[in-house]
Amino acid sequence: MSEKITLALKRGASCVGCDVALLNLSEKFFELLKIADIVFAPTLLDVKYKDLEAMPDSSITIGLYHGAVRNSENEELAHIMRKKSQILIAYGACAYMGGIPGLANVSNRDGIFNTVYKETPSTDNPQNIRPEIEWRDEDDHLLTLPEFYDEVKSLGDVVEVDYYVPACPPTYDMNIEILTLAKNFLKRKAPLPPKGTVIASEKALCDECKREKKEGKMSMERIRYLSEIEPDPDKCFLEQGILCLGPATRAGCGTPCIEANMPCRGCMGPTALVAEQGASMLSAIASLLGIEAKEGEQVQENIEKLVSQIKDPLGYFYRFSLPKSFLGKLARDKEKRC
Amino acid sequence: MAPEGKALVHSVLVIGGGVAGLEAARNLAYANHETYLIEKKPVLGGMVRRLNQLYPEGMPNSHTLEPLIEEVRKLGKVEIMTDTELMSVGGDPGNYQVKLRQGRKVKDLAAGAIIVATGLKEYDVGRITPYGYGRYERVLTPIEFEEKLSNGEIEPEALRSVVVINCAGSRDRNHLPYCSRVCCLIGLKEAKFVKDRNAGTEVYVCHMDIRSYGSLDSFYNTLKDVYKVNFIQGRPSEVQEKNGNLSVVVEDAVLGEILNIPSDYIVLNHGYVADEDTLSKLKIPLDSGDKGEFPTTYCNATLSIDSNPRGIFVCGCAAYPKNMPETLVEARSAVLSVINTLRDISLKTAVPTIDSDVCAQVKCKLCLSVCPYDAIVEEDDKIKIIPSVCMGCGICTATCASGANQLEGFSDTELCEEVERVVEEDDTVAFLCQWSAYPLCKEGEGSNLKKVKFIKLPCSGRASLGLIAKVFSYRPRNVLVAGCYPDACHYNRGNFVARRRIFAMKSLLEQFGISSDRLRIEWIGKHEARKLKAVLKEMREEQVK
Repeated sequence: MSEKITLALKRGASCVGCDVALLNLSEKFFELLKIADIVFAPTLLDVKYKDLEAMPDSSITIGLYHGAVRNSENEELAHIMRKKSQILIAYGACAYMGGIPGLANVSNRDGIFNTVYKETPSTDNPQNIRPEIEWRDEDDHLLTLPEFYDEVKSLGDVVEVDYYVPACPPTYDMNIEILTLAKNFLKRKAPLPPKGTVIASEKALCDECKREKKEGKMSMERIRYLSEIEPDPDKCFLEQGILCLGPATRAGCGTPCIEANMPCRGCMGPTALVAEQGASMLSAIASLLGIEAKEGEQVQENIEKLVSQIKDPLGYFYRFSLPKSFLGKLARDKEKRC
Repeated sequence: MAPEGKALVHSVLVIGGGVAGLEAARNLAYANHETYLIEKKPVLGGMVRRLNQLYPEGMPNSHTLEPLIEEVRKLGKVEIMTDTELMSVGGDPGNYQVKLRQGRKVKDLAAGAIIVATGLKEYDVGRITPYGYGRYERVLTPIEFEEKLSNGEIEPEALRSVVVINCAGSRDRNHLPYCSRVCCLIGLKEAKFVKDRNAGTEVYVCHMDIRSYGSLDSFYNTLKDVYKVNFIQGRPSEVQEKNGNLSVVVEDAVLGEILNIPSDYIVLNHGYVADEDTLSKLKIPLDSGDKGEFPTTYCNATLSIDSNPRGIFVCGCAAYPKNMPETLVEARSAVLSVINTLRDISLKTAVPTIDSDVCAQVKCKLCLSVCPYDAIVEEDDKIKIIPSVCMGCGICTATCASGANQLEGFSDTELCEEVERVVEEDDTVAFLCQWSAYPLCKEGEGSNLKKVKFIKLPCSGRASLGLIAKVFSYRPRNVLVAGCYPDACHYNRGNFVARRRIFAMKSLLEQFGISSDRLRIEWIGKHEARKLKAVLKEMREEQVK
């Protein structure tokens, strides 16, 4: 039993998809249980925060933290997880890069509260009641709520992270890889990867994509959306004019989206060589779009119209990586100034 | 610039045995280049052989053509092949593999460079139906008219009236939208040709306007004042026939009257079209694909030694219509370009490298489409750059989303390091094209502006959005990308690619809550130091919103 490691699974601002992803190990889950005791996992076990706090420091071999850091509760638990874990893994796109919750960084707390507690048509809040960090009732009981931050952070922004596991959510194969790493380490067979490693492929996503590309040049007269056409399941999405983040995205997921005839949305994050996942991909698309046209004759309005085919570039190209991106940091900066 | 691993071939292929080709071959021979001169017809001489005389002096063609042919033959360094046509060209600059067809035989040869002197074709005037070419025997093209008048088929003494219709089909959306440049003067020549033989013949030249540029304007004045040729400004609507007599209907724009001019002969002074056949085999793009327009854009671009990646030069009327002196000058300039190309003193800039491992993973091939020179090819299942064709603009580097493609000297790492080194908060960062705006910032103009940082790019097309995102992370006040004016890009389209990227980036910035005014793209010419300064000053005065 002493050979066994301990595992904790804690979520921050998360959809809990990552918890389910781990359970998706199915029968291999028992293999996990053979080598690891799950000591803390609020989604799976009846545990309380105080149980985690009571554990000795560094008593958890591997701590998996999924979800972004949205509020003070997320951050506090991130610190506790760090303290209690020997190895802390940012598990899933949100912990790694901020993920979907990170899209909210184009707004701030007031903006979000205004939307949620005031502006949405279904909101009925005439007294304009909003969450408060502290509240005393008539009997002088102090009630508290976690502080909702102005911005969403990735786990790496608040604590030191040992490894990153991208994807939304990490796939079965990726989980098997972590399991194998842990098993091999336990048997003293293999050293652990260097700190800061992203546990996935170092290659670009297109490497795993089985779609065919035609010979020679590619052109993109206009951009097409899934709402307009049924993509050819055998052809490269970009060739069909469909925005796909493959070239700027890390491989390792096994392309489940693409096999379901959905273009890559970039949840694996960029490879090491990519300057900025969103902007680099936008650069590529904007370069190619309408390349065949006789441009000298095009006036500014036409170019604007052409480029406006790229709808919602932020949502499309920064879907998972916004808080970690250059522009995301600038946007965040601006909030502080306001 | 020897292609990698291949020998540099010093012999040169000249396609076309007209005046341009002959003059090119002659000069190449003097410069000690073995030269192949091919002509698809059985005789040398091209278009000039078909002319009777040349404007403005009326010099017989034989005075220029025959001595030229004789000299080329005598030089011995030129292998003349008539009845020979180009089949295909492969290989790279410095070592082209050429296939020729001579009757049923196929001949292979190697050439380091190629001069295209294939001349032009006459526009088919039969397509201008109201003028009745082919319907009436006395409606002729200038060459036919000259021939009949000089061989006696038309007796000058019997000529009472001749009408020359200039711009027949030219500057006309239904036919040729452009000006063929030489026809106005051909019209003058035809008028003089008649008047010299019979001063009593009434000659009318119907024209849009007479484009007798430079000193040739005195030719026009002489014909008008001394020869008493009638110039009528107006485009004839039709040629009419009554009882075997022809007349031209034209509205005189000066008098505002509709004239009906009886005429013995009508000369349709048509425009000219490119000889697409050879040009397309050499992948030289015409200005507009289907209309037979000349490859002027290509030819103008190739005037600069470092923007002709191909070692294929066009001269004479193959580039666009021109007269004999202009043709001779251009043939010599093409020879000079060939000599420079084949000399191993390459002025070439660094080219991008493609990390083949990374690229093999992605193989998106977007770079193939954006390269203005087709310098990126797919070979043995790999994407490769042909160094001898690449001009180092970096448009492909800025397109590569995977980071596999990096232009030496302007790689992502190098540019990001520069940004890191120089950019401070609240700066105005100016990315300037090395051909236009960048030299200006060194000249003092604007260089004394505080908080303005200049970063040199090979072309505005190198400005990738990843780089611009990186710059914005240093919280500059604003960012400028300055490129050359439309159609003035050294690399044909780098500025346009840059413009599309910047526009896309602007909408992205807006979504991030960053005012899109903080990112500007401006066209700044290489002499516009004042504009650069004004733009930068304006940007310094802008407040961050």
